[in-house]
Amino acid sequence: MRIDFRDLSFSYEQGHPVVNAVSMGVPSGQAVGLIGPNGSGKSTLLRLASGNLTPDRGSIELDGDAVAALRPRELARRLAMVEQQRTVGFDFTVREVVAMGRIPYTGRWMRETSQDREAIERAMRWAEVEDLSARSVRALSGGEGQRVFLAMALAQEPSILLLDEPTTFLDLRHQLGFLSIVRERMANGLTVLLAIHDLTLAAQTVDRIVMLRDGVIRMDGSPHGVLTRKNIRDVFGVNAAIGRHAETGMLYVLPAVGASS
Amino acid sequence: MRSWRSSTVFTEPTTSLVSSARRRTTWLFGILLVLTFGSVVVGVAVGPVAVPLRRILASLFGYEAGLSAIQEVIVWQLRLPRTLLGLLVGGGLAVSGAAMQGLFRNPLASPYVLGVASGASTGAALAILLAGGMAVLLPVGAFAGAALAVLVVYSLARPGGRRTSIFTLILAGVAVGSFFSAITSFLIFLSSGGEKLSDVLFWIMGGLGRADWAGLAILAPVILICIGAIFYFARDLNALALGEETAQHVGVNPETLYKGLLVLTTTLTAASVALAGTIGFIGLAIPHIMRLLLGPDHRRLIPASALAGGCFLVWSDLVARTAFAPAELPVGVITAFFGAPFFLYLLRSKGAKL
Repeated sequence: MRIDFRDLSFSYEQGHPVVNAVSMGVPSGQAVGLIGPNGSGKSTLLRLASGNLTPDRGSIELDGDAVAALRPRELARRLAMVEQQRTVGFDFTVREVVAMGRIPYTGRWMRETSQDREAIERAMRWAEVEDLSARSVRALSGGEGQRVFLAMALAQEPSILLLDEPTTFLDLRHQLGFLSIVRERMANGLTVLLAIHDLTLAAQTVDRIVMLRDGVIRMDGSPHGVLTRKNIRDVFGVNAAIGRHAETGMLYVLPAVGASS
Repeated sequence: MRSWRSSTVFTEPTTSLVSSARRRTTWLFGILLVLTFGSVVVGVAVGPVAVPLRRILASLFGYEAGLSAIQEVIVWQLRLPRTLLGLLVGGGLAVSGAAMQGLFRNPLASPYVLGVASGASTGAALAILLAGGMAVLLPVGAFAGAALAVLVVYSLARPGGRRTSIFTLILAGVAVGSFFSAITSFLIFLSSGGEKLSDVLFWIMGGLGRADWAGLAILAPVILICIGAIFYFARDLNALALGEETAQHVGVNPETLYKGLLVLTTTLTAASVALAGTIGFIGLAIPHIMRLLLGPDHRRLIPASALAGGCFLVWSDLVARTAFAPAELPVGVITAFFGAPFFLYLLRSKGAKL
């Protein structure tokens, strides 16, 4: 399923647009990384796409259907989002939380069907949270919590996955694990839009990078095309070394300490 | 869209974990149901006038029980309506508390957090002091006062119909509550002592002494419908515990949830206190205790709170009317006096998992 932003604008306070006339699209099965400095509109763009915020102007479409016109349940079947951080109100267990990903599919009074159970357990295995099953989500570390909410989003069986800084709290192994899950799901048709600070990780994960600053798209293209010294200096105000891994050919970005311009 | 459904086969089901939790739930509900029925029987059986248990059971189940005329009145006109009011009010306050805590995602919320109790007290005080002779006016006044307080809170909290902030609501509730408390205190000051004053104070502390079938006929449907409707939102409250935004991601509209539940909980609270007064502690503690025993899932928490709150109030009332018989203690004294230590014990033994 593809997602399109058409001439999207949004401001929290009048006169200070956070997203300004953004138009872009993510084709089915592609992963696009949103990068840019703090306050550049990455998270706001994701929250507009997820229906948490309503745009002042413009529209978001999923395969041509306007998000604003979809029933909440229908939207939740097509699109899932993993937020940056959240506080959970009560001591729900990890499994109970992941199971909430099935809400869009089940009636209020229905018990879990075998299909629900499979989706829940598969998502928990993907996100490597099976061992945490009976733990309270409030007792977990930041990274474990992030994986639980990824599992919840995967249990939703979405066609589009939105991720807001998904790797912030993850250790190295789980960062790679996280991204390999995402890549594997993409191979099966999942469309991914993620906001990410780690440019090297972004370069390794996504098909395309959209560089934002002040709510406006500055660059849109392949990681190699977008992640250049000049672009990074222009948008982040930082000097960076760009290199390629000698064996894998992977691109990496090394911000130079003390060299901000 | 579903292309990846078949990509892996699931191997290790966590069913044993799920089924042990389910067994525990079944047990607890079984115990609560038996306890509820037992509470009705004991509530009717115990009192200054002894009535044999066998005859009470026969009478309750509609057989010819051979009760004397006085016993008949005591069982059917005094103790049974009183016990049923206890079940309804206790259940109503506990469910209202569970819903408020879920809605505000805060374990400190109680049914009275939006000023309902203060408004109801002012209404009740006015009814007693101005029209003391007319018993009908007391619940009407209390309900009207509660409704007025909540309406003021809502209108303050959303100027121009903008989106309601939960914090603004709570602050407005505290402010309006203080205002109405001031009015009530002023009314008490004006009353210059006497029997009416003790009536007002007794109502505020809460009691089931005003129970009758006429009152039950009005309150029971309101309380039961509100509890049922709140139960309808149980799963949405679960999702809300993960945050407004996450709730929205799984298709729950927080705005609808807030609007619906605020109306339901305040109506439920107002109906619960109308006859019985502002009984404390139940609305705060019973949902907690049930959460400690059953976990936070509102689909279990709400019905369990309804039953446990009802039982707890019936037993508290039993103590209130027998401990110093023929004098009657305000039941609010008992709910807090026995409930609080038990609650503290549970907190300690369960490791303060609020």
